[in-house]
Parts: sequence; C-alpha cells; structure tokens
Amino acid sequence: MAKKSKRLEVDMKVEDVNLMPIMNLMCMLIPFTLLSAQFVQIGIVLVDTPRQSRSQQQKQDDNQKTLGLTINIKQDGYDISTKSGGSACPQRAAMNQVCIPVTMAGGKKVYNAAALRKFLYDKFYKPHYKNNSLAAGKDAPKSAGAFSDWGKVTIVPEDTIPYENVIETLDAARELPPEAKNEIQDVKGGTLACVFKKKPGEKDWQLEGNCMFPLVAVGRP
Amino acid sequence: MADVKMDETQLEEEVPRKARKPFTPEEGGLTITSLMDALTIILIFLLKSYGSDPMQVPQKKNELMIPKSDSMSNMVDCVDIQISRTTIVVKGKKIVAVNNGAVSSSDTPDGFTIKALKDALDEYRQKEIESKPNAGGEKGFQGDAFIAADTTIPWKLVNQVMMTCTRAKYVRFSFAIVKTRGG
Repeated sequence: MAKKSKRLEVDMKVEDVNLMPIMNLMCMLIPFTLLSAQFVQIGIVLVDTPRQSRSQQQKQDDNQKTLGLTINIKQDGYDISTKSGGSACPQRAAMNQVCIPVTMAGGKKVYNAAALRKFLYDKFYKPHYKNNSLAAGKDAPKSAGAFSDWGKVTIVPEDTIPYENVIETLDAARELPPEAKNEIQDVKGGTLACVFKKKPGEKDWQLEGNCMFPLVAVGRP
Repeated sequence: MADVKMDETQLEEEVPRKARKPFTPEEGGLTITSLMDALTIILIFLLKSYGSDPMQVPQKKNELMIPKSDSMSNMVDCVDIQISRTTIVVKGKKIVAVNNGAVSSSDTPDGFTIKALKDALDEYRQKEIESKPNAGGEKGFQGDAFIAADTTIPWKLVNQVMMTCTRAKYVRFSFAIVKTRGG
C-alpha cells in the first residue's frame, strides 16, 4: 500500500511552463513598438477664421461694447490695436513704429512673445478682467463695462511670417504671464494653464483653467 | 522530530562516509520570470503610448517639424492636413506639391483656393457624412480640420489651406503643436 502511494506522488509532479516562445514574441514586439511609438506629445491650438468669429459675435447682444483686439504680426514686430481706441501704443504709432519691435539674435529676427504677453496683460486684461468673465457663458447677464467679445483676439500675420511665429503669438495671447498668479485674485487652482477640452460626441469645446485671450481668429478681418 | 533524527543516525551508520557521493549542487536553470515581468510592463507602456492619440503626425527633419507650444489641449479625431516643405497631404494621401513654401499658381486659379485640396476635402466630407447617417447629414457636419504645418512654412500657404478648408465647409481649425508641458 505504501509503495503505491509513493508512485502516485511521482506522477503528480508538474513541469515548469516553457516561457521561451512568449519571450521570443516579446523580443519581437518591443523593438517594433519602440520604432513606431511617438515620444513627443502632439497637442492642438484652436483657431477660428475672422469670418467665423464675426458670425458668432453677431448672434450676441449688439448693444454691448466691443474691445476688438487685433495683433498684427509685421516684419518689424507686433503692432497692437483695438477697434474702439486705435493703436495700443499711439506714441510709437505716431513715429511709424510697431508696439513691440523684433530683436536680432545670431542674425535672426526674434519676435518678443514674452513682451507681447506682458503688454496684453497690463494694458487689456488687468484693467478689465473684473467686469468680464469667460466662464459666465453667452446667455448670462453681463455687468456694466463688460465687452461682448471678451477673450477674443484677431491675429493678422503678414504673408511671409513663418508659421512658428504665428503659434508663438497664439501662445502669448492665450496664457497669462507668471505675475498673474500673485496679482489676479481668482486664479483657479493656482495654475496658469488654459486648456480646451472636448468630450467625445460633443460639438463644442469647453475652456478650462485660467485664460487671457484664448478665442483666436487668425487671418485678415 | 525524534524519528527524523533517528533516521539520520541510521543512515550514517548504514552508509560509510567514504562511500557517500560528493556533494554536487543541482544544475541551475535560468530564471526568466523577473525578466518576463519587466518586458510585460515595457510592452504595456509602449502599446498604451502608441494607441492614446487618435492621429499620428510623423515628424521628419527638413520636411515637417511641428512648432512647440505651451498649449495643453489634446487632439480629437478629424480630417488631418499636413503641410510639409514639399507636399500637402490629406489623411496620408499626397495632394499638391509645395516648392519654396508655396504651391504653383496653376494649383490656385483664384490665388486663394487650392483646387486639388478642395476636391479632396469635398470627397472626405461626403464620406464623413455618409459614414454617420444619424449625425444629421450636412446640418450635423461639424467641419473640424487639423492642420500640421512645418515651422518654416510662410503664413500665406497656411492661410490658403485654411481658406480652401472653409470653402469645403471645414470651418473649425486646430493647429498641431508639440507640447512643451504635460497634460
């Protein structure tokens, strides 16, 4: 009887799983995925055409005042103007100069996007942000002194301006400068990021975070 | 326990020390379980990063380099137009040749609309409407276009592409950028 049970024990031994075929498969898959993987993250910047932007604005209240902020990207720098007030830097405009001139670095023109961001913030955002809100929605009643086109900016690049400079300008207009963290009381969540989000199946994009002038129309008005 | 001890002493008595076999360690097999774990984790990570974006933008030096931006917005699935230094590509299909940052005047009869691009976009719009019969046909068409252009492309060409898109009823634009911060 004892002999029989010993034999049964031997039969029950389980052999190790042979992992070599799986290993071979892994070694093939990993180089393949490494080659096809993208390690840079691609994102987007949302833009409108001036015509599209205008048609949306006409649906809103016509009695409210508009800011009509426009940034012209010229060969010699950024020129900023509003519909109501004309040039944002009249003294320079009188001398036929742009608001924020380009600088030269290594024989290459450099557009000063940081200075543009600071200029837009000091001149247009800081004095008016308390009366205006992007989050209030289109149908919400607006306070006195509010602009119907708050958050909107039209960017007009000259034909020869490289695409990279247009993107830099979009960034400068959309995001708040670092000093806003201390100066603006209602900076939500302590972050200065401005993000467009769209849920699957929804038609419209939603704005999240803290934005300066995120609704950009690019092109000749 | 006592039985075991007794067995050992019995064994020593039965097998003399000299007759015993010398101690040889068991042959050690390669332990690949931990390696398997590491490889599985790497594979899952790679597969996840491969499939997270709805569209791929292959970047090539001196051909199509996308500008960097602070934007943290993510892309959605829509018609994608790539403007490289040599071609305009719609959904992976070459449409028009680009020379020195411009298309030839024969491709733009009115100076603004790129004819071949408009034809291609019209075709894609029709396909998109037909593929979503419950989306409300022409009225429900959202018209999202995703433009990935090289950093050096002059604005004039990007503007011509946008105008052509507008005429093909693609009216909402998103420009591709390389994110400089996560999100």
